[in-house]
Amino acid sequence: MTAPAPTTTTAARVVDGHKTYGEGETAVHALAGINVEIARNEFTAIMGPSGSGKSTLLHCLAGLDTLTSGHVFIGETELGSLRERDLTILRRTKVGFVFQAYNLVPTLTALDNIRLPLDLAGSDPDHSWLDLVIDTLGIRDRLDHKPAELSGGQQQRVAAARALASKPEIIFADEPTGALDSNTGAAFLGFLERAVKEFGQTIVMVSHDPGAASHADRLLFLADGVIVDEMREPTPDRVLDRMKALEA
Amino acid sequence: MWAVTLKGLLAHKTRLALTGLAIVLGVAFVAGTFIFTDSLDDSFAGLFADINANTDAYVNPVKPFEDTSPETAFVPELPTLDASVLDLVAGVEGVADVGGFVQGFAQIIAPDGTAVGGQGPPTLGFNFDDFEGGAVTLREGRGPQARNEVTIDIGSAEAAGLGIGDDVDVVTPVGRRSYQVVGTTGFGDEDDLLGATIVTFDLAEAREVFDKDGVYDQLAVIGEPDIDSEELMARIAAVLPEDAEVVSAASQSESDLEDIRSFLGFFNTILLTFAAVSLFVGAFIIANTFSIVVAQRTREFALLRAVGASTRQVTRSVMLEALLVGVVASALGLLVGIGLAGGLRGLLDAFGFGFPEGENVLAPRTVVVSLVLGTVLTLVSAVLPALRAARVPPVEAMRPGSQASEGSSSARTVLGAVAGAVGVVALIVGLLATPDNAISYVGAGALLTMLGVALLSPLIAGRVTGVLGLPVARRSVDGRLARENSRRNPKRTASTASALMIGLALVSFVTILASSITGSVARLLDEQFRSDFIIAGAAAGPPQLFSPAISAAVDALPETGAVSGIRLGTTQPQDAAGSQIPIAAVDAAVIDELVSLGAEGGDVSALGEGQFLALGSLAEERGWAVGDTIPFTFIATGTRELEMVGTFESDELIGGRMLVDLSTYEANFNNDLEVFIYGNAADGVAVEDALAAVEGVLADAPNLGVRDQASFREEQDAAIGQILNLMIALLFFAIVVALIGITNTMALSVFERTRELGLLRAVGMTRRQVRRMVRYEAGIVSAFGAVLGVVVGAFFAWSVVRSLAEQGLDTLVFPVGRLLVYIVIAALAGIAAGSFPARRAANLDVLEAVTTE
Repeated sequence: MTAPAPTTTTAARVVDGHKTYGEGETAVHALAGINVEIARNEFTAIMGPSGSGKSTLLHCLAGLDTLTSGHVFIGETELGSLRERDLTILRRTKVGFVFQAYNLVPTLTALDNIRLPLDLAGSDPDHSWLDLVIDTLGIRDRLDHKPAELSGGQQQRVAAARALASKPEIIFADEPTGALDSNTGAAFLGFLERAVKEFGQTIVMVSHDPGAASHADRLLFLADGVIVDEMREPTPDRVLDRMKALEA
Repeated sequence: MWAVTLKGLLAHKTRLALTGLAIVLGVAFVAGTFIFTDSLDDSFAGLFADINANTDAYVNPVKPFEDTSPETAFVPELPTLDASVLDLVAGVEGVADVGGFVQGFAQIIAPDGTAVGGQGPPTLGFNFDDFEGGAVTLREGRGPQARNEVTIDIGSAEAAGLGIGDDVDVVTPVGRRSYQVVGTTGFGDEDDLLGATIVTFDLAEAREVFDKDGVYDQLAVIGEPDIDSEELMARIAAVLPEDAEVVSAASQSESDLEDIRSFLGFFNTILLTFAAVSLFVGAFIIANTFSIVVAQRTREFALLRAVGASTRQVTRSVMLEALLVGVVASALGLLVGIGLAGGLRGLLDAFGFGFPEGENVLAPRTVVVSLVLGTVLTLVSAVLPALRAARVPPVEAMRPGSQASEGSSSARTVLGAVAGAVGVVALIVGLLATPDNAISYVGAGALLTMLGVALLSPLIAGRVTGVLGLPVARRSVDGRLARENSRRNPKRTASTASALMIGLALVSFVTILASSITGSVARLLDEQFRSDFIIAGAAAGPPQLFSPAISAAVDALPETGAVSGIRLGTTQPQDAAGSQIPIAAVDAAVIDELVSLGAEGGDVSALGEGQFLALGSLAEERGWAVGDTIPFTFIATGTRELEMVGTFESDELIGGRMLVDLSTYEANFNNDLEVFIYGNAADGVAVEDALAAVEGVLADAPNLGVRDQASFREEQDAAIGQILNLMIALLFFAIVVALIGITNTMALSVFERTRELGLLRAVGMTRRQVRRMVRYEAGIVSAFGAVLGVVVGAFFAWSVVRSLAEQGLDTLVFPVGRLLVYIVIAALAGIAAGSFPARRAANLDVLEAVTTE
């Protein structure tokens, strides 16, 4: 097994992104001309008050939603020009997802869930890579279990393993610890950090929890649909102060 | 609660439409059947009223009894009136006109040499009479005035391309003769009467060809305009001899109608049975849909309960929804039924039944039955789900994402086991013990058995769908997900599959039965059929009667050896009024060379005039012994004693439970038409050569055909296959309803799994893979229903065949290949039924789906 070579180039970016809901006077600008670059081999967190557009940004970056105007790139691929089918294949091969909850298909075992994107693509897994991911996440003894038989933390770790399985360009995590208690959540974020440091993965996480965000290498603050600030090597206290300032 | 119910309904239009559709189709079948048979009844009643419009009364010979046995009722056996009766009646004061009629078999031959009509509908001939009443009405030209002139009915004229002035050949009991067409006739205003063909001759010719010298079959009477019809009948009755009776035209119409009505009634029952199957399937689907919907709305009900709705209000809200669905769907079903009545006519036309044209009759009974049946069925099916909805505790409203569990309950298992056991017992009692109302036992038994299987099937649903899903699960990950999805809710899968199970059980049942009959017929022919050839109607179908001149001509050929025409008739033992025994007449001298009868106690070839052989079981039933002399009543000739000289064991190939020589038949029956001829090639003559010679004789009788043993067998198989296809066509409805149920369940499941579908799409499942996953699941569920159905159908067939062993159905044949094809077709149909929900699933907005609660 070899981890992807770390590079300093951009894993994903948004150029002059607008996302508008509704029309005329009642229009809501969730994203208002945003420009973001997500660096490769970094753990990027996005924070912002409710309604700041952070979820919209994540969804647009991940190709789950489309911009009203502007461009989104994953690597060098511009998502706006992709047809539905190509977008799906991109999600399957270049993107990994971890949602807040209901991350797993209840009828499949943990292992089948992990292999799902590979099976959907009909591609053979890199077994040594898969073994490494499974062992790193500490879920080897749960592989034959159905999601209903796993704890919340285990479920999220299986979801993370699935996101890593296809060695994607970028992994998106939407409040991945939102449904976990703080200890389990912290442990899970530790795994994400290792994925970035040891495997050279790129992760973008949306969270409203300063503690969670402080695991990131870089933290972006969003307000009213634009990036208003960013912070490197955040700590919970600094994050909290900044959030207070933003919400004031 | 009204507002809640209505909003609930409108929020789920698709679900509503699909649930309703199951009822619409079932009710449409019922309504269509009623409208169809009512319309036929109405047009026949009108037709007979037209035919008898100008006539006041008929004089008929007195029949000692009416031939009602299905084996022989098609043989026209009638007593006759002496010709002198006409003068007696004509002399009655108040009688304006009397027409005298003789009738018989007359087959029109088209210029291209083919027979016109026949194959079921009668081919009749009678004398033309200037009389103003009468069954036929002159349309064009004139009546025949010479021995070589005829009229033909307008339907036949059109079919054969014949016009006035053309020459036409007609086959009558005396053989084929040439005539000139001088006129065309109709039946009142109708051109066609059930496909019957009519030739009229002049009286002298008719009497000669029908061998009715000095007699009439019927007189028709018109009274003076001012005379009361009761009075007229009384006066006529006063002059009639003992063997004649007078009936009013109205009651003649009634008794003509009676025959048709009993046929229509039989039809009505058959069609309604199939309609009931569709409704039964529909009830399953409604119950299933409401169960799923109630489960999905658990939180909504809990919320209603939490804000103060009583359990009764919740139940009522679900029942109200069912009521609305039931009423609307039943009303729609009634409308569709009107269209379907035409479709049924088309279907039966396609299978060779010709019915007169007529307006659709929508009787009040049809409206009431359709609406009540559809609505009540919907309500009854919704009762259990409604009660379950009311049991939702208010606290469920607080639990996120909770959903009522749908595991198989032990109550369900017990109920299923009891229903199944009672059903099987009732079925077996009905079949083997044959109580008075055996058919009800069998019907109820079959119904309960299917219900039991449906209730128990969740126990095996997981395992069986696991196996059935393997082929697709091995192919792709969407196949694997489809297989897992079909196993995740065994109760739902089982209920959905059960609807299809019912249809497939009946289809498999009739298929296995048909194969078993084919197998039994094959064995019968192996064991009993010794003839080289058989002559009967040119096409397979109802028996074709024909002149005895044919068998005489065939027998006279040097290429043929033993030849026997077979005639059929009925008789009544004098000491057992009401019971009728079918009689077959054969050439006793040669029959043993043609058919193995298993005769005992007497040499068949020595069977003389006034003697008979009885079927062993008949002799036992009646307590007859060899040497007994038994008095019998015959329809045309009155009472006659016959001596029993022996018994025989196999009646299947001759069609009578008593066997007499042709000489005995001729002495006791007016009819001399034959139903089939068995024959052998002469010694040293190849069968092909004999057949070629026979075909030469049959050139004059294109309504007949000759077959060797092999083609006779094929024809028997084809006839059984035809009936099987009609049955399957009628069951098609129930299967369509079941497939709608699959569409419905899948649509509800897709709705329920929105979040999961969103996840699958997010991690890279293409729309195509989503569609395939849903369709595969529908296919697996269908295959499960089909497998259950084939097993249940096999059990039904096994029990029926076992119980009919004594009636000659002694070979149980499982057409394994065909049954497997059914399962494959069902799976493919299920995949098609899954297309609509599959498209819905594939078109879900990914973002909306993943963010759904």
